[in-house]
Amino acid sequence: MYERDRDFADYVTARLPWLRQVAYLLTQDWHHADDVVQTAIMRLYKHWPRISRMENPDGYARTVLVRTFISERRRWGSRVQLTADPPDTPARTPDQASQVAVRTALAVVAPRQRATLVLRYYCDLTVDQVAEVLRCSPGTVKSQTARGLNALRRILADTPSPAAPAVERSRS
Amino acid sequence: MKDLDVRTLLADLADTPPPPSRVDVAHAMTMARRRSRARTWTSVAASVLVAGVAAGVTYAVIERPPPATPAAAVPATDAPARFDPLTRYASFGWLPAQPQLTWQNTSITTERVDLSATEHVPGSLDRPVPVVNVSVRLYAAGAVPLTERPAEAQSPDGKTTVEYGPVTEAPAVDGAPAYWVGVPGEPAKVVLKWRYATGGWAELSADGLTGDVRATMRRIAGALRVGGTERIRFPFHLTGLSPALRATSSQSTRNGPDEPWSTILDLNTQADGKGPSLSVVVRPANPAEAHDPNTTVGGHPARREQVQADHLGVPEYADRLFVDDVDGLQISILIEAGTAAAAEPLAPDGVLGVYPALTLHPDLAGWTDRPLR
Repeated sequence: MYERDRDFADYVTARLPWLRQVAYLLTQDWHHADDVVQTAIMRLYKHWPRISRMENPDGYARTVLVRTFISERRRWGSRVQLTADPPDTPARTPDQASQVAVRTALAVVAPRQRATLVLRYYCDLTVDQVAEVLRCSPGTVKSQTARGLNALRRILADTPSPAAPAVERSRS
Repeated sequence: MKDLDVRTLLADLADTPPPPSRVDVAHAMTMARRRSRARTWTSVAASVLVAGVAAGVTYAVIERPPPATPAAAVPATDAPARFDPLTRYASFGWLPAQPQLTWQNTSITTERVDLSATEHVPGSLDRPVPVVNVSVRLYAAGAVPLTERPAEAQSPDGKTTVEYGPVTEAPAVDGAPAYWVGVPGEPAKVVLKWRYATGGWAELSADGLTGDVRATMRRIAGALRVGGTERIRFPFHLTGLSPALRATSSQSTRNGPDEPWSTILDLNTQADGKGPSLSVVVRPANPAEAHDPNTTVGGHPARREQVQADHLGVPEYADRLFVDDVDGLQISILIEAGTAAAAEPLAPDGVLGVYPALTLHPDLAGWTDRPLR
């Protein structure tokens, strides 16, 4: 069993940057992202004997991570703060400023919609795969995706710059 | 907004430089075990513990061979083809600030020996925080060291793969070739890697040390005692088990932040540890972690849990027994196999059949170096 523990620790350590990135996109906050990852790997560990024999342990890990975020968002929800510049924040570069705008927009999008967007457009999952992760129908994924995109578009449109540069840059 | 826009926005956002990670892998594993009441594990080697709190990448591939070191001689002794989990093959000969590096772990599998020493200080959330750690891992002959394992750092899709490195020559350790191996994402950190014996690599990492860290690491490595034959002592022994069972790993800790000591012995029907397994954990009793009893064994309240599940197409069977206080000791016995039928040859009556085979030695002076008889 010790060997199994070692393998698990090796696996999680190797995947930690990726898990944190996904969690950060979901939570928009590194502190909360680490909370999500911490809980998720605890859940992963319970099922590691099975996961370690799977062809796609990363997919399982991602599922656990997203479900952890979804299921515990109420607990963390009260701590989520929308991004706002502290008074003494130094001037940001356009890239930094656009990231703040996107973070703000994503933070406003409903958690399940946000998870849908992250799974579809960052993790590159299909609609059916997202449905499996979120335990919902493909139709729900499509509608959540559309609503999430609309919300993003609306929020970013209302943001008085500097969201625009990032969007424009992506189109070039 | 087009799909491409969203992809780009999210990718840009994900590239935000992360702060140091607060994720603690070791703690997550410990908590998982406690919550599942398995409690057959208390710690991992400090290298993993430290990696858990470190930001960024921890391992990758060394694509080029280490530089030649003609000045250093290859050790005359051969590295073991496999380690004996019941024998302390290696031990620290010197550690810095020894009074503080109190939590010491020795973990031995057939493939590697891990030694670690850690200093903890009180932290937030009512749990100790590791602040200084020294970790050494010795590999059996031919085993691939951690720093040479392929890994993807940023994405499981292989979008970004990073390497340990740079690899530079280090002064010989005990006359053997040695190298400093850089850790990506942690510019100030290096792993000292050297040949402790012909065909066998050792790796040493340290965190939280002050002063001339590299000199300290070299001194630790140079003082390492290798080739030991001392038998590890256990607070129990087992008699009459299936002769097919052999020791595949052991772990002993002392002066831990949560408990004074713990011992684990893993047995398996296969040498590679992939067959049906039996694990025995003995540690000081802790009333705060008592189980709700549902049976008795040897007159002691106990809890037995059997789980047969088919999860994601993979069958798994587990048979656990927890006895919370026998002469001041807590006992956990765990049998794992794919199915109950597969576990039967290991112990026909399951954990209830293993318990009578267990003899405890509560007094430290009475611990035995023959846990299997």
